[in-house]
Amino acid sequence: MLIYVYDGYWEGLLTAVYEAYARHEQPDQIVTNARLAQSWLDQYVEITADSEKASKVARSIRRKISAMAEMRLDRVFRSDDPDKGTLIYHYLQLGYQYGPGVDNYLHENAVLEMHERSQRVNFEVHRFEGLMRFVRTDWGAFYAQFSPDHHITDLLAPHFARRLSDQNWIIHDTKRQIAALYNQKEWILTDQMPELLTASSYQDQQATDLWKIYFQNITITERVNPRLQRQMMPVRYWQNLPEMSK
Amino acid sequence: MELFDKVRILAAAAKYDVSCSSSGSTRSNKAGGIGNANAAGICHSWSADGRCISLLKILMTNVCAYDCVYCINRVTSDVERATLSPEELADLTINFYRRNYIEGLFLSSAVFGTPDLTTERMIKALELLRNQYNFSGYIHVKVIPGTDPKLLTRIGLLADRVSVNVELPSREGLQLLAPQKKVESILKPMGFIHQQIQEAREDRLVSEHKTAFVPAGQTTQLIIGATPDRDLKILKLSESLYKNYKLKRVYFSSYVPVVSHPNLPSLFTSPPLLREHRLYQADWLLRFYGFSANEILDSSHPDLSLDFDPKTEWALRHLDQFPVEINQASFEILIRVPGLGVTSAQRIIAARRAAAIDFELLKKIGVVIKRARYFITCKGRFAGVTDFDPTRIRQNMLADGPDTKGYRENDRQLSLFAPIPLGITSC
Repeated sequence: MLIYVYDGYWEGLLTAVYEAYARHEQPDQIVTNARLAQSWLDQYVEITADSEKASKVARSIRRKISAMAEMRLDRVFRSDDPDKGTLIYHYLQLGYQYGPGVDNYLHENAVLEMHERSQRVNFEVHRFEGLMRFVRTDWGAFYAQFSPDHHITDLLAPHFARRLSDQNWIIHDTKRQIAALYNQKEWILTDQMPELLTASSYQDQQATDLWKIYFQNITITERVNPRLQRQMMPVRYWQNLPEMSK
Repeated sequence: MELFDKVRILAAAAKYDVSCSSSGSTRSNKAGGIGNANAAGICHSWSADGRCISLLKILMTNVCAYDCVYCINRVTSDVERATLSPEELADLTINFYRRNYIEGLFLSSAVFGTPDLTTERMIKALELLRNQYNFSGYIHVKVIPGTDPKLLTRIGLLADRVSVNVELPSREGLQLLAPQKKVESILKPMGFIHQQIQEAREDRLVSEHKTAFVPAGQTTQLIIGATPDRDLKILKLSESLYKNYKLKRVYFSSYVPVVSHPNLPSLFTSPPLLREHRLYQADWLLRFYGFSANEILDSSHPDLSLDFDPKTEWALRHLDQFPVEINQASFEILIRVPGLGVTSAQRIIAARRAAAIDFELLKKIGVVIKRARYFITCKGRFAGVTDFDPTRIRQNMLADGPDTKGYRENDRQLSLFAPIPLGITSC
């Protein structure tokens, strides 16, 4: 098998796609990690990211395929799936072949798969618009930690910047150790956690308690249905929800 | 009384209000302000009954002058009473909102003295929120029948959505169980708000800078199972409310026995949750699938079947219109096929632009054909494992297992059903 190895960044992946066309090769996989299924039959090609080549591919997506395809590619790249590079390559091949109508070709596995995965990412963004929970820190900012399945912090930040525009806030993805910081003017994405944060304490007991008592009393006990509750709000999200903590 | 206790009492008193939807408004934040609305609505949590929590749904007070038999807060009921001040309410809303617990406020109230007196207190809380706190989040207000139109106008300029509860599906029911509420006193504010919305919309065509009046429209709610009204009557009522008052939603609330009274079902009656679920399915057909109430039910079939969803029942009675060919049928026809929804129909139409669809591809694109197979052909093939005969199809479908789509049996061994909100924030 011919396997392209890229650096894990978007630019690197687009460069890999560029190289496949430029070298008239059809890599079987495009991955970030050579340890994946290593075998002596496999031939590994290291791809070095090149911004010029990458931007040529990026431009061609917009010109030859569609803005919708561009969005789907962005969303799918936000997952941690090891096969996302290969999937994106296959989808782009179909995109160049069929043009703007590629999203109708649902009998093509790559198209269907791209739809499902991009939807999953968009759905998680929507979910966290609701499930994010802030606590007030003793230095006045509002802090939220969450642990999403996908890399979506920068998709959520604009929503909270519009909505909670008159308070300082931090959204902290504890899985990837990245955060969006907002100062009532603009937000930035960083992997450098401010020291203040790790040292903070939270004195937000009253609001949390009021929320919990509200949450308990809004239930119609004659209709209790924990399965439905779990289905709508999966258990993996509970760790950061004060109303679900014992 | 501690704020903590007020929240406990007034949340519990508001829990039978069904609506939690926060959709339909696009109000945006102001400079230096807090909050905005999201057109699609956002759910923030789900309570133990599986219902979405989007808005802070709370009563201003549960001190009530009325004596509606079915209501836990009626004047003669022996319950703990509490009242929030406008300041407390505005403060609570903002504190919850800053922590992203909620999408906004759903404010209703028992009748504190008179409808006007109550409404003025509610308006005070809303004005605090909108003007003092600069809050642009979602606000839904429950209007009290009998409120002065001048006050209604003020509410309409502050709220995103309002609702006037129809309460019961018939005049007789209302007479029997809520003697202080009259059909006219419910329809009058509804009509007034409808007219104001229309006028505001026409004004906005002329000038973009007119203030929005109830931008997310109005809804209503009615209790089912407290009176002997048939489903046909309920659906006809919903249909006329959608048509004549342009309501956004009609919500149904299974009657949960809270008091013992000769005019009411006994305390041991379970809430009719499956029936409620069927009514929501039928309501969906009215709003999004181009059905009329008369197609779904008629005088020889006055109630929805508990065995099958209303679309399947309709199709079984109209087999002459089936089977339909997946590769040719229009969108409007596709969504009338049992088991096919809007999403499936859209996928079918997209996929068949690229290639003819067979059963394999149908499954692959995520269309569930368990139910649909009796009513469709793919490239001329029928896959319904039976003759094309209503009795046989009905038997086969019953053998396929109960219609589990949309509700789940409870974990406990109680036979309780709860509807899954159709769509993310349609609850």
